[in-house]
Amino acid sequence: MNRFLWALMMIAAGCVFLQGCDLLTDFPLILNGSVEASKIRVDLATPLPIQYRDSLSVDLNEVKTSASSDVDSVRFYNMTVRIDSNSTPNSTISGSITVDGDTLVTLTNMKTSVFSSERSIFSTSIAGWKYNAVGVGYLVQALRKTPAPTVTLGLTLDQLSQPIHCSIHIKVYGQLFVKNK
Amino acid sequence: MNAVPANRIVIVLAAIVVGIGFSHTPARAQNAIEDAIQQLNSDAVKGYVQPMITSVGADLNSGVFHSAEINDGLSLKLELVAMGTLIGDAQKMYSATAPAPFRQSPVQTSTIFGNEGTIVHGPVSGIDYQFQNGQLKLSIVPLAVPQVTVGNFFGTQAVIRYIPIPEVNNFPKSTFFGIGIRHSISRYLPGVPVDLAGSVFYQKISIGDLMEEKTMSIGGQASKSFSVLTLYGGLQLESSTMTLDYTYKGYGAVGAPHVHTDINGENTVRATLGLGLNLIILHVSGDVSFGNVTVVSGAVAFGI
Repeated sequence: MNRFLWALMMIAAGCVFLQGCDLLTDFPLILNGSVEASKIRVDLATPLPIQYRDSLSVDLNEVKTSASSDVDSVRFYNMTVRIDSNSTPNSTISGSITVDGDTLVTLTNMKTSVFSSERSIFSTSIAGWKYNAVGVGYLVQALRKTPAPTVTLGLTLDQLSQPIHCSIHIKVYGQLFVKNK
Repeated sequence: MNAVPANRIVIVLAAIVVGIGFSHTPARAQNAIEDAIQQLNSDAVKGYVQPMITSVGADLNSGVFHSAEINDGLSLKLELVAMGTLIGDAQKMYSATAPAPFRQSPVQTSTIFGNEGTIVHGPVSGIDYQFQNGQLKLSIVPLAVPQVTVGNFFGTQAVIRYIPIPEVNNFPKSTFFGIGIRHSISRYLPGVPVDLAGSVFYQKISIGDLMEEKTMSIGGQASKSFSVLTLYGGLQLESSTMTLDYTYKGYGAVGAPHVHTDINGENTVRATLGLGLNLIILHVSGDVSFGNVTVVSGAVAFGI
């Protein structure tokens, strides 16, 4: 009798175990991935009569490798600009940010203090800030490649009437689709 | 009664644990559920995991009693209680808002029990944001726990639950503990034709490294035995609260922001109806509870 009872208990446990199997859906887990370009430090003590240009390389594959999981695909969904170490918050700037020569976003008479927090290039609530679909499309396609390439982000500042001392951070965001099984 | 050797209990529990252990899928670098939670800020995580919190809480608050009869004298029962909260369509969707710069109006998307996350289109063709996909494929959230009921002194008995659960198919490792007391009300109402009892129960389950859920219930039960059958039922007030403690890794996370939030389960009251079969030392019972969610429960018990 006792063995029978224990057998029943084991069957019950087995049922619970079977119910617990195959818990996960087939839908991929979506993780946030990002790569932040090394900051661009701008120190211009005097007004600038000509354009200021700087550039840096960004390995877009780092968006994918920012997650330790087995990433199946990446989808670009945002790019942000943030300015810190800013001792000239009231200075205004105009210019553009480019990717491999294609314009991503243009700036027109914007105070540097606007970027004290992360600002999306797609934000429509900031006066003087406008994304360019061609550059965005280039970035979308670049992130779809395997492996994603290294791109050159360029910063161009037009004539400055005030000194500028700040660091500019550019961050690229992607959604990482991770295989569940 | 026939004493049940402690080592046999250990063998059964070990068998459950070992059985689960063999079912492991190849190890992932991270746990899917915990990964999914860490992608959500404190606002979004509430809707995404709310059904899991409610269902786990409802599970825990189930299967405590299978009769209201508590007669003085030594009583010891060893039980395996299995319970499951049914997951309906209402538990598969919630309202959420995509991060800026996407449209800031709420959309319906999948909870942890849902299907694919909703895709929100951005300002440029090809710029889309997809909400987290559902990660758990369950129509019922199951839980099984060993339970010991010991008493009865002055019409009172204690109920204790405990089990460590290893990681199962990416459901995080968990530790579960519960303790409660039940007291006979019939002893004060000898003329009442049914047995009556009351109970208070506290439980805690730690799920992985990020989640801890605590439940509390207070209830009244009634039962009537007909030969080997016992018809029982009860009303119960209950609460469940999950504390989530994690590092946010989603969009806009700067400097590893910490999220600490308490989320309450939605099941706060239930009515239970069940039937038990009592064969000397073997007791088999099953019941169903109705509240904000529906819970089914079954138990096999040995003892007197």
